[in-house]
Amino acid sequence: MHDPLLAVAGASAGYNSVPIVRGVDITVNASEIALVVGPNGAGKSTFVKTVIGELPLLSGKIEFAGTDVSRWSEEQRASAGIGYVPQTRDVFPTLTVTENLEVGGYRLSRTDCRHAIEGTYERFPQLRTLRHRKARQLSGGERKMLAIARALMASPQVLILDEPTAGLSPKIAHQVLEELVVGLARLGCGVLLIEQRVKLAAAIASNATVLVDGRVRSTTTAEEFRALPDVSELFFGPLETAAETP
Amino acid sequence: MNSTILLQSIGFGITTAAVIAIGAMGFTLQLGVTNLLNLSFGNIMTLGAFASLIVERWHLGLVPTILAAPLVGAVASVLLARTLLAVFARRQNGAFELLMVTLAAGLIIEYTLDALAHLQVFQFQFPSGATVHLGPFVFTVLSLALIGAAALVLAALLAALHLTRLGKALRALSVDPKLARACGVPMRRMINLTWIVSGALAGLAGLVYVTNSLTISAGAGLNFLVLVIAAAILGGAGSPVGAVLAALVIGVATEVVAAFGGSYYSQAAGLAILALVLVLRPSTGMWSGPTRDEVTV
Repeated sequence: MHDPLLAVAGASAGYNSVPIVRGVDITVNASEIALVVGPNGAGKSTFVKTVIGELPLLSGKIEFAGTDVSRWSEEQRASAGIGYVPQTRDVFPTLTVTENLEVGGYRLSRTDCRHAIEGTYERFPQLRTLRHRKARQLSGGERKMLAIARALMASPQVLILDEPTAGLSPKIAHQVLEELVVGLARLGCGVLLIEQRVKLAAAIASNATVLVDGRVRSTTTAEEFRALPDVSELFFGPLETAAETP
Repeated sequence: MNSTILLQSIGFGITTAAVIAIGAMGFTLQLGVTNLLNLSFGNIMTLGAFASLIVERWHLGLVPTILAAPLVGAVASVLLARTLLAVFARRQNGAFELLMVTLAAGLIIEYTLDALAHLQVFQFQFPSGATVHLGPFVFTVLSLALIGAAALVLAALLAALHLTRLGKALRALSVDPKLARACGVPMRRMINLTWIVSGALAGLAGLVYVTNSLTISAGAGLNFLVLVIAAAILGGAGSPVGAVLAALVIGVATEVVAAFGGSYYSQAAGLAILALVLVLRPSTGMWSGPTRDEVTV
């Protein structure tokens, strides 16, 4: 058994030393989609901000590829291989598609960056045709594709996606999860997926963690999670309905 | 309206615009990246102008005289950011508190210069050269050099911002610092670079101001700051092209108003244009996108 790529143990974090999430344990392995769900206000975004280094860890430990990165800065974690796609403000709207990718690969050498952009255009041919367009001129789906492609530029070992389908139509949301996110895992990337569209996300996830009031309510395999009628009814049925209502 | 006077004042306005533009480009670059309205910018301009004046009085030659202003401006700017502003930013002070800190820093610079200069107004010796007729406008060689300097600064800034990786990262940082940091862009280094470049441009603006007006006093930059801020806000934060276009509008307007209404009203004309734009497009200026909330120094 390999060490997990990302191992969060007993993490507590919040704002101004007031914990919002408490004692959270989550692991992400290579080629795996670790799903985190929970109602609004459960602390999902706080948790994500803590993992990427935007918020300080109050207690607990974050290990990445076997190294303790708990005290590392956001830039250090990004350089080490923790990629991040925020829920909103996920691209640089005034930069072109190519410029967004260049910023995504800022830590690479000039040559590597050029090769990575070419690789990105091969993987996402649609972006090649849009390469001179400003990111603010893209549709919701194109924009999310660019956001994920931008995060992939640095070849992250773990990619954290904070509600990637937020604001997208059900059809595009389905495409983003089924094609983009599953594609990432197939490439060997470990994915930490925060999602409100629980049914869609559970269908592609490897395991699921339920976060309620800043604490882990349960951690199960995706199969076990899908077979939990009480949990889905109690927490996620109404939320999913709300999220998918135009 | 006398058309000869109008054309002459437009010609003067283009020269004034060049002087405003250099300051406005530095100001808008720093405003775009840090989102902080730096009210000490005018005083850093004065500091740069005084540095050049001292070097000129020491007869060290033209090149050291020209280099002294941007060098001193850059050092003063980065010192302000990394000492005073950094202390207040670490204490979680917001945009308004930091703005007051820049105002205080500017006043300290002005009164220190006043004390050292004993409230004198200094003459700056700079040959204005022959008169050149370009179409309906009349320029001196010096004023053409100032216009050329502004065009050169604009070209260099645009090339740096759009053709280099560093520039693209800076533009990304000015749009969304959090996302840029998550991409691994070294925020601290980038912001320091911004303070250095904007400080150098402030110093250079001080030098071109003094070569145009031929006099310098401790309070000169503060008066000029009004027009620089007007151009930067009118042009939109972080947009060098917008700053230059706005400087052109303000420069010409101030000189035309000065020609027909008296120099007393020239600054008021610049402010009137700014007020009009703030009413019409309050959050963006004329040539830029929406701004963000957080300040990063």
